[in-house]
Amino acid sequence: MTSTQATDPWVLAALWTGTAALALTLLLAAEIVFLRVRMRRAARREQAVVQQWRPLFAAAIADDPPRHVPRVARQDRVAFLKLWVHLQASLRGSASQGLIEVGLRARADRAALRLLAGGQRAEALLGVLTLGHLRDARHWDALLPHLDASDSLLSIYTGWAMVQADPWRAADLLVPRVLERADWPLAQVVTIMQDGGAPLLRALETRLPALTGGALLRALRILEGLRATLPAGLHERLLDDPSMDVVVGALRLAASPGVLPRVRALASHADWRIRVHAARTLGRIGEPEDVDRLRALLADSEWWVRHRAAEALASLPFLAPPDLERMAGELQDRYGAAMLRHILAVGAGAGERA
Amino acid sequence: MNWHPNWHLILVDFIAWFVIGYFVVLNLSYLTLNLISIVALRRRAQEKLLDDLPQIYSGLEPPISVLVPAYNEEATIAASVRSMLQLSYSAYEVIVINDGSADRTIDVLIEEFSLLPYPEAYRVQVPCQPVKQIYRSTRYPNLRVIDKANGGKADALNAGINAARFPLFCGVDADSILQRDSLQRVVRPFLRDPTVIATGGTVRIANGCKVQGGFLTEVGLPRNTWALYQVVEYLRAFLFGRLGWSALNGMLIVSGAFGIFRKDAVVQAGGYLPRTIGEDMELVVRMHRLMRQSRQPYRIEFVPDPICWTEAPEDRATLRNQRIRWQRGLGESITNNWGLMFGPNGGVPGYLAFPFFVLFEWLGPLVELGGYVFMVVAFIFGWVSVQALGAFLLVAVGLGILLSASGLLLEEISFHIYPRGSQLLRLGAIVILENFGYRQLNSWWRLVGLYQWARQKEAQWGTMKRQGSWQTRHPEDKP
Repeated sequence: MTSTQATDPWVLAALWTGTAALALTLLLAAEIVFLRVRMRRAARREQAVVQQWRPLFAAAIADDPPRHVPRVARQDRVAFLKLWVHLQASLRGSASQGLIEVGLRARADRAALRLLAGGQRAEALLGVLTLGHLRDARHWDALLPHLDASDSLLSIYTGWAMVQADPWRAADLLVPRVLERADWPLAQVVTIMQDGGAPLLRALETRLPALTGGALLRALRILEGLRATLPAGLHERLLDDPSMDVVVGALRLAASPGVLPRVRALASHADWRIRVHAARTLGRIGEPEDVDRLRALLADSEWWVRHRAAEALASLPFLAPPDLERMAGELQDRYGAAMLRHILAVGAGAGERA
Repeated sequence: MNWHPNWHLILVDFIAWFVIGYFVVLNLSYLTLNLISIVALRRRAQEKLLDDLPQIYSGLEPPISVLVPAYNEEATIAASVRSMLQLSYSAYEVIVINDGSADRTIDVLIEEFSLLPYPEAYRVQVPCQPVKQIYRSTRYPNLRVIDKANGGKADALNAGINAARFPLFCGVDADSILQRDSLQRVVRPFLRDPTVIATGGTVRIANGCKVQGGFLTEVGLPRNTWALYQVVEYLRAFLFGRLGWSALNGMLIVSGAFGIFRKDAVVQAGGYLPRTIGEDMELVVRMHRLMRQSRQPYRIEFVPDPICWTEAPEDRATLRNQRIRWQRGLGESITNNWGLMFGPNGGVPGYLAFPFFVLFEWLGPLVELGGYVFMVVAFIFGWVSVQALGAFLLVAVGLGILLSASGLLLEEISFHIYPRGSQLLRLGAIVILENFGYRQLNSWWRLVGLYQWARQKEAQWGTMKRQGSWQTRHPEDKP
């Protein structure tokens, strides 16, 4: 006699579980088919939109705007704006303006506003990108609520769009957020600020003296990305800051001879990270009297300090490769000599390729 | 002592409940990961629009050192390196590490890339076998080659880490096929979150695809059945296995085929462990353990985009060796880092992910195969009815099909890289068929791997029989 019958609890449990699994599988299969059919349909519609609008956009870009601009059907809104944004993103100057005009005639602004208000994330992003490329300050109020969205992508692109619309007005709104929102990638923030130009840079520089902590560090990184220079007084104050991270940030920005005395003093700092960046800075703005200082750093206990000191020596305009080779031969410290020869070889390779 | 007259029936009941319960818990766990992945994938799909826009570099993107360990790759290394030099990223270097190849790998590299020896100030941060020479390319400024004594893949990666100039490094298999924007995509988590210490990307099966100039030009499905099974397997493993765990910060593997790490975090952890089979997983598990012990905030994330393609074994023997090796690697990773299991401040890795891997991945083959064997034996001895056997098989196979189907659904929601209906039909057929033999065979191989790990048998990598012709020089390749 078999111990387990069809009525045994575990058998029943297994039967129900297996049946439920197969039923769910059939549902999934139906969902996959539905998604595939829907995707195919959407792809066909998008293809039709592209075929209709690409020639019109091309004519607008070539400064030959079409006489007649058709209406964009509601179901084609997304495909239309995707194509328009994709083209706009690679254009500059009058070509871009031509595309904007065709877009406005096709009511791209109204379509974008509807998508922005619609609530769906992907469509809201598309709406923001469209409004940004349209560069129209009339859309300011529609964009503003999304600047503080918890969604970092939506909020940072809204900031970008507002900068495109009116950089002066955007500066005071965007700069504090750029400093506070650690979820906004720095690389993207720098790109937005580069686009915004002087108004944003000025707004950041105005706030700089009052900044502390994480906001100050972030500001210094942004300024480095923008290749900006600090006012001399402020720069020296930052080079004396008790935070090593702030000192490093300030060293990375040093580009003028005015801060040389402070940088020279930092070349013998107890923290090796400071010495690394001091060496690097001396390579940028150093004078002939800094050669001995850098040579001394070639004997530093930290590999990175030796590396940057060797790089700095190689980049000083008044030292030629023969001078450095002679220096390498004269060095007592074999690690320093090896590092200098390594940097010379890297530089020689660059010369061969030039 | 009097035994219960029906002790054997009670035992059968107990084992049956245990096995059924195991299958149900295992598959429910995977389904939970699936649900988490759906949310993550939908968010990622919403951002696809941004991928189509021209990339603008601000100069603040972290530069990356791409490390390519190579052993006996003379036939393919030139094409691989050439494709890596064409990656689209703001700043990166390529370091090929010739790990004591017995063939002409180093000679090929020297000839193809005009290498010259140069006096690099090589810094040993992680121990490795002696470096014989370091070369730089006179034609490609961002290419260097390290020639060293053989020490295995982990050792080669350590040598590359020592020479890497940049704060992030990317370990890439020499035969991996990347996409031009692979680095751009897999670096994104580092840009968003400074606590990220490692990211991994999805690895897809390259069999059946068209490759030109080292890059994938057309996606296709393999004709070979073994490879087809692996397509579905990889969908399951990456699209909800790793993505689900990543959302919980419990991802224990970053694929050795393609992954980015913060160099200082890896050096702090001691680098890759030499002479391990699963060096990729072992390092990540160790990083979890050490970061949790030191209570430093960190994340290890997964990028679901298909950014790395690899050739899958197309014959049974090679596939068998691979699966045995993977199971052994899993065993090493787990036993070397046992302290993570329910450890202090263990979090998701210690209290969820690690126990999951121990119970369902490492010891899983024992229960899965044991369950099948037990039920068949019990049926033969008349301890279970045919209905009971059928019910068990319905659960085991039914849940397996459900899991595979959900992997296919995730692919359809997200990247749908197989656009043709015929491809979908073939994948659908495999979703069903793999549960009638292939999965059970895999479990058997994994059991063999578990046994070999237990016996500490000498690991054999074996030689993969490569079918892909994309690695030979294409007429349109630049010299």
